[in-house]
Amino acid sequence: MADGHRIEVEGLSKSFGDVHAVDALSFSAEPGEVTGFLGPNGAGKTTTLRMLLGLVEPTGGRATIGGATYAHLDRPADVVGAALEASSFHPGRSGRDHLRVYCAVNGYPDTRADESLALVGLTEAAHRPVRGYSLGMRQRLGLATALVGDPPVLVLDEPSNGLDPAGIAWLRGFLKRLAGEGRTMLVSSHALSEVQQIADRVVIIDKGRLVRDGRLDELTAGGRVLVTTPDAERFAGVLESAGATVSRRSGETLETNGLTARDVGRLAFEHRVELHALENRLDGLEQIFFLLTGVEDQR
Amino acid sequence: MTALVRAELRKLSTTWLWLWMLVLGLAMTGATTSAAIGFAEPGPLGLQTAAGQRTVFAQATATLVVAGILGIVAVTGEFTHQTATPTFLATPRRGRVVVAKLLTYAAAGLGYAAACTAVVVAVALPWLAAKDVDVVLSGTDLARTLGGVALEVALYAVLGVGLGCLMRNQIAAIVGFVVYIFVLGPILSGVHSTSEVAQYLPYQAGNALGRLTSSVDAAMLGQAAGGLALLAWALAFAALGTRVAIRRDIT
Repeated sequence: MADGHRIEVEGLSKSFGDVHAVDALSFSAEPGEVTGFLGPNGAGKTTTLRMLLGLVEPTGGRATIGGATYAHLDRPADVVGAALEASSFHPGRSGRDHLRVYCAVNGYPDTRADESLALVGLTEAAHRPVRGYSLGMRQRLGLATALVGDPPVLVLDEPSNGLDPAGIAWLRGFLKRLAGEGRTMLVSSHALSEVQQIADRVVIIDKGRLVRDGRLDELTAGGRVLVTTPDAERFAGVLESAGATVSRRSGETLETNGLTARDVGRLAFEHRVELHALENRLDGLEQIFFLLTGVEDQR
Repeated sequence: MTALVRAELRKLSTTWLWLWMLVLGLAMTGATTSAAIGFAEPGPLGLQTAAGQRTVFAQATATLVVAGILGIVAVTGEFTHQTATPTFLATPRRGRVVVAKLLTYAAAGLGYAAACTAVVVAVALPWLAAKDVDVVLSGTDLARTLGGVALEVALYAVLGVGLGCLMRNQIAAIVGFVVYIFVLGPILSGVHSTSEVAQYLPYQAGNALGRLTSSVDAAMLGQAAGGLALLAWALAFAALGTRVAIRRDIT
């Protein structure tokens, strides 16, 4: 494992008639990192992941895993584990039998089914039909299916959907552990707070297009700072010459981009500008997400 | 391919559908065999005639409905329960999944036919003996009938897989299949003006394979030709379905 299976998406597009569900999207996900794939509902995340996994035919561009398109992987389960919707199960089949089907396809021993069930904490429910599973248990079974081949790459679409707070906490720890083993992990979510704590990088898309892409710590640096001063005219000039972009919010309030609150305060002090308010408008990735996509985090 | 067939067998054996369908098939076979003997009338298809006895011993053919539906569900169930996603994730070359299903359900069809044939024999032999009817069929004749029916049932399961590929919509595929088998097929074969053409269609081709003579003057291919025609339909459906429906985006 961990011999560097990179996910690379290059100019990927998908049109349904006139609708551009995914529009010339490019990004990558690196081994040993959790890449959060973010966007509001309907942004094109699922379509992108399904193109990456060979389930949906792209209308343009390509997506590769370790340099090969999914269809060209010899035995995909050895390389990529994917958990998409949480309901890909026959209701009358037990969780263990569901996994045994995929053991048979890939020539794995049935013990792999039991190991996967144990990993996600479903051993107790192994022999019960899936129709009696809660949504959270189905999510876990989806994860177990993805893990049956112990693959170096994991692609998870909204894995926290339907989980209760305890389940989300469990998932977070579980994903961290998997990432710690050096896997390439691409995890989509519309709820930023859930990805924020586990992601090393984020890729944010909206309306099928890339909005921002980068390391989480870089993205959270340098947001907006609101500053209120009776000397707004002069201070705007000072801030601009320091490299910030400045816009007038109201008579005495300026909105700056590209400087930290600390920088703004220092500049005010150095130039003897009277400050009435200094506010850092960056409280986490959600703020960025909201700014970039114009959509509130849904919870 | 062996691994894929094993996986398909596992899918089939890990839900109870196969058992319910088998019970249904056995019950239908028992009923039609009883009807074939109990309601037999003297004449060219009477119980004493070879043709009449072939009809009795071919009654495992009733299972073809069950086998066809089982084949349809094998494909459409993947879409109904969204297991198409993990299935095609595991095997991105979707045609291979279809081939595995064709093979698996051919085997399952043979199994169903064998079980139902046992019912036919168990009902027919004592009943005919009780009626003092001698079995006039030679061993070869009987073997050709029973073997033909077994192949017919197996090919109907294959046809069901093909139909499922083509339609993907489970209800539509099952209703279409049942209407064809019970209404359209018999009408097309029975009506004089369409009978010539209808002998090449699945229903009458299947009858030819099973050596079933429902009406003496309906046009019918020979046994081997009928079997080939039925196989051709099944494979044509599967190939066309794979091209137009199975390769579609799984969203």
